[in-house]
Amino acid sequence: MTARLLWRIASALLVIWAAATLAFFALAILPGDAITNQLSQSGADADIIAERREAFGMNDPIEVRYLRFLLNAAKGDLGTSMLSGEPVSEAILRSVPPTFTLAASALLFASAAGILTGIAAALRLPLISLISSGLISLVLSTPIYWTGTLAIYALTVLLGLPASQWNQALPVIVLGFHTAGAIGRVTQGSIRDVLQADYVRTARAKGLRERRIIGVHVLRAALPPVISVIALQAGFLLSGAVITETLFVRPGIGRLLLDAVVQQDYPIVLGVVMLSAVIYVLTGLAAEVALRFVDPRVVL
Amino acid sequence: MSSRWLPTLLLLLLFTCLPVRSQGNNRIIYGLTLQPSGFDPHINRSSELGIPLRQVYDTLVYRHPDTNEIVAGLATDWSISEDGLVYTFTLRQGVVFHDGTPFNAQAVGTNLDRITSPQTASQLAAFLLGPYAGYEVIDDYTIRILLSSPYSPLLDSLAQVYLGIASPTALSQYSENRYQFHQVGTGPFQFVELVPGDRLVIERNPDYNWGPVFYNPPTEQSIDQIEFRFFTAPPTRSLALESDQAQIMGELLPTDARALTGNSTIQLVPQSVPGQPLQFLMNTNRFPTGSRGVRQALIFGANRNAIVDAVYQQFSPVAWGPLAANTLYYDRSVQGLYAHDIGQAQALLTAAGYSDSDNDGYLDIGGVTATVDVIVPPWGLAPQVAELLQDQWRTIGIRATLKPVPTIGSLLDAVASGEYNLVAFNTYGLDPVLLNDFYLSDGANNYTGFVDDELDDVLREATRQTDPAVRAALYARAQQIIMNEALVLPIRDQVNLNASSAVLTNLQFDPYGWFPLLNNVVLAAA
Amino acid sequence: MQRPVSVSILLIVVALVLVGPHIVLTDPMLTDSAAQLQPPNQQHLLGTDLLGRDVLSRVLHGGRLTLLIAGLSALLAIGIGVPVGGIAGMWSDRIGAVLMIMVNALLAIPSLVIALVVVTLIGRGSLPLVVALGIAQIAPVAVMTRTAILTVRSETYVDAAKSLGATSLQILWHHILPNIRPTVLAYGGVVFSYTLLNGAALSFLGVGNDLGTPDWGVMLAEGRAAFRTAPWIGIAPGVAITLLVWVVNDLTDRAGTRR
Repeated sequence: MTARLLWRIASALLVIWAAATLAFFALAILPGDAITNQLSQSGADADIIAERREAFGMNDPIEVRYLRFLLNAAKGDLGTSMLSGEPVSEAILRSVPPTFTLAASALLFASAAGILTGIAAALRLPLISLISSGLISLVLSTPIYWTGTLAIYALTVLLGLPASQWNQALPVIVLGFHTAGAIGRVTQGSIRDVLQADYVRTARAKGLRERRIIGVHVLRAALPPVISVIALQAGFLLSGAVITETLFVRPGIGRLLLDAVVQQDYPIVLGVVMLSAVIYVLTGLAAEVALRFVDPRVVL
Repeated sequence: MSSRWLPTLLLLLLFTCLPVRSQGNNRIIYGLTLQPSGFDPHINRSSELGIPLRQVYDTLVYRHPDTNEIVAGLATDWSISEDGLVYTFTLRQGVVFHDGTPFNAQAVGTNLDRITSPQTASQLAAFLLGPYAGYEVIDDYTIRILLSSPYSPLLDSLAQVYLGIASPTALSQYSENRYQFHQVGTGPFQFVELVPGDRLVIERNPDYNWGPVFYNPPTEQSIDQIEFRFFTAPPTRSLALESDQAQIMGELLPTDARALTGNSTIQLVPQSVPGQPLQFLMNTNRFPTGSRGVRQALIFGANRNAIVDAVYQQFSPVAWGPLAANTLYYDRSVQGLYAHDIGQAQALLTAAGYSDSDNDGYLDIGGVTATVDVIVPPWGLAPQVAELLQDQWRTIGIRATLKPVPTIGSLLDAVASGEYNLVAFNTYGLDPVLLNDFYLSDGANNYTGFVDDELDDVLREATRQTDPAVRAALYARAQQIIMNEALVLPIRDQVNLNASSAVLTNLQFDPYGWFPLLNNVVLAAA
Repeated sequence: MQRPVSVSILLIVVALVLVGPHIVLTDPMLTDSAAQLQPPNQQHLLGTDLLGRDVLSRVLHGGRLTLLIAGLSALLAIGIGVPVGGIAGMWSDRIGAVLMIMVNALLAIPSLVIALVVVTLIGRGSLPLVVALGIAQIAPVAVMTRTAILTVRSETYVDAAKSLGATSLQILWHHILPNIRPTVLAYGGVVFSYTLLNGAALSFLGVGNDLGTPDWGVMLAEGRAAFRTAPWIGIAPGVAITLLVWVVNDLTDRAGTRR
């Protein structure tokens, strides 16, 4: 058990390293950077530009830069922004809380909404199942920036509501929208599969009440894939955060990444990539641990 | 079981208890529309940074918003030597920077040193100083600025926020690109914080009593704190105003501004911006725009009234020359030049030897199709304008290829490659000296590649002369030459569609067009 | 939804997109500033946009482009993802572990960053968009393929085949591939819908196709700018995307659950 755990942690660290390396080299071969862009606007001559880049360490050979990046990252130093000189770790630290709050709330909302709708869709209740099932499909199919735009427009122009009333809740719903659909879809499928399993028929044959069957056996058995998909979605929420934060003009990691990408401020892009890798790996590990609790038989 | 839910419960609690904005002070949110790469007025050139910082810094002189006249600021009096090379300023006494440092002549000198230092790599401020040659501190309240050749726009430059006077103490404490996070001036508002990508906050300076003549003293209804936030996506701007997410917003989309004209809770404050209009400069060193006939045909073939109607909802007037109509020394004789005339365009192209020999709908000459490459930046609705032009030029048989560039850096790169026929680029200002960079043979932004001795002489002489009548005549000649040679396709004068919540009054902008004078804004009486 | 309904909607949409541009002959790029921002009327069934272009013809032409981009990138993702996942699944101990680490690394990088790198290197437009979207989906496809293979491998009939002396390749060809085909096809549908949505998202954020291209994502962005005065510009492509993704998901979901 501990050997597996150690191997898991080791491979998690390897994934983070691989992602950072991949991103580092991919960005290193891109032409242009924030420093050159900014200085060339001042008509600064090539000397000043070269000097600045030198001071930033950009003229060193790539192996040197890569090693320096790795060593510093291990110490917790992710470099400084090319534009503002702000340490990348500071920029990330101030951007994480708003995004984390948003994403965590969205995940909570999505899990609750998704699981409930998924259950409703899986049971063969007459109208409710049809609507739930259709709702899940619909939600999965719509682009969130479209629904987000429609929602903002509807609330502001059609209903005339001031932003203070919906500015906290709407981004959570918009961000969690798609995720709710994914969770709902998996819940629905998983429960459907379990309902057909042999041991359920046995329980029915034994005469246990339907509700008891569902509550105890079926839900417990149907949970593993649901937990997996919740963990997987946690990773996708970052991409969703970029769009949500743009739509609602909120600060956060998503905006930080988008601005850095557009302005070619690579230290920040790298920093966010590493953060994303860490989150991805952590949620994967958390999912496995949770799965272990729910169903000890599952081996990934 | 409970330990699993506790963290999430705590999070929910945290989420619901997010701090509510405290009431009491008069606070407003002002919507900025783009993210400049930096907020240092001595270093960066974006007009966006001037919006908050005009309130934080005083300048030696100001332009009066009603008369355009140069009036006293941090300098109470000034004189210019006979030869135009020495400007002597008498400085105001009793002025204190926000950090307590006293304001004096040495402080001004320190600022000039910083602006002109190569280490600072100033993108605009240093260039505004023209042929600057140094300064002399005569005594605590007298300073002389020296020039190597006469330069009449100097006072105009000194009125701009880019030459705002910062505290020497703060300047010495922070390195070049860190100072922007700790700015200290003498203005009616003091700098509180800058969080990149998120907000810039300023609050009222209680000791301020040395403002220019048009600054009103603060009252109960004045604004105490202003938070500037970024609304880079145009659709978010009008929605933010309507939902009260912001109380003042710049650069509304023309269609949104049109839709808001009936709304009683929002007032539109359109502001004309002097300088160069939205325009397309034409490359005279590349086929086919090397031929004057082709350039003229392109302008004749462009239906600018249709563009102003469709894209700008008639909020902007058509531009006819290289200067916007409210710029100093604008020459009226350019009005109506090259008005839309398809027949003329076609005649010019035929005269230049073009025909559709291969019947593909596009003109060609000597077997080469007439294709114009257009560099299109994303601001000012330029992409929509370019799309309309592309379609309009199809009618006269010219194929236009649009090359969008996402940032100013990539625009400069694309221009440097030389592979363009038209590029959309312009700068703003009151003094037509801004034409120098674009139309002097050795100008830094000579994207037209046009070299002409007469134009050079006229522009250089106008830069030296101080007599307004002489300058007016010289600049009139310059505008005529530029339009005769069809060096530029002017589209529309820039009009910034600002809007504010109806609870605010007295929102006024300075003569440079972009910069609000927020000192005077008050909450309307209830 | 009932299967026949889904299939017919899919067929209708595909037919409209393939044949439509030949029926609705209005040029999607033709501007007519006198006719701007018109609500749906007789001449323009879905109205006009800011520059007076016909929305219906832009939706139809845009459909071709958007579907082409989504289809090609899905093919790219499957073409690379399935072999990679297959190798990782068949030889799961050593090679597989290494491959999975690389795949997970790719998965950990936000797709926006991937798109940026690709677009900056190749330039903007449809082809870079295909590459960027395809690369972003390789990892999920690989993971899914590997999981499917591992599941099948643990079935008893594979053990039976092994004990009868079958080689790994024979097992792969005769037993595993046929059994994972439904799952892979089902997931292919999911990939297609993801690339459809992501492609539009990238254009929306400004990293995809340029303004003016009749691509559904770009049209959504344009529609958003004109939303308060002309909501129909944004609604049409939004409905089209939703409808298409819905039926693709529905059909592939069914295909996936068929045992």
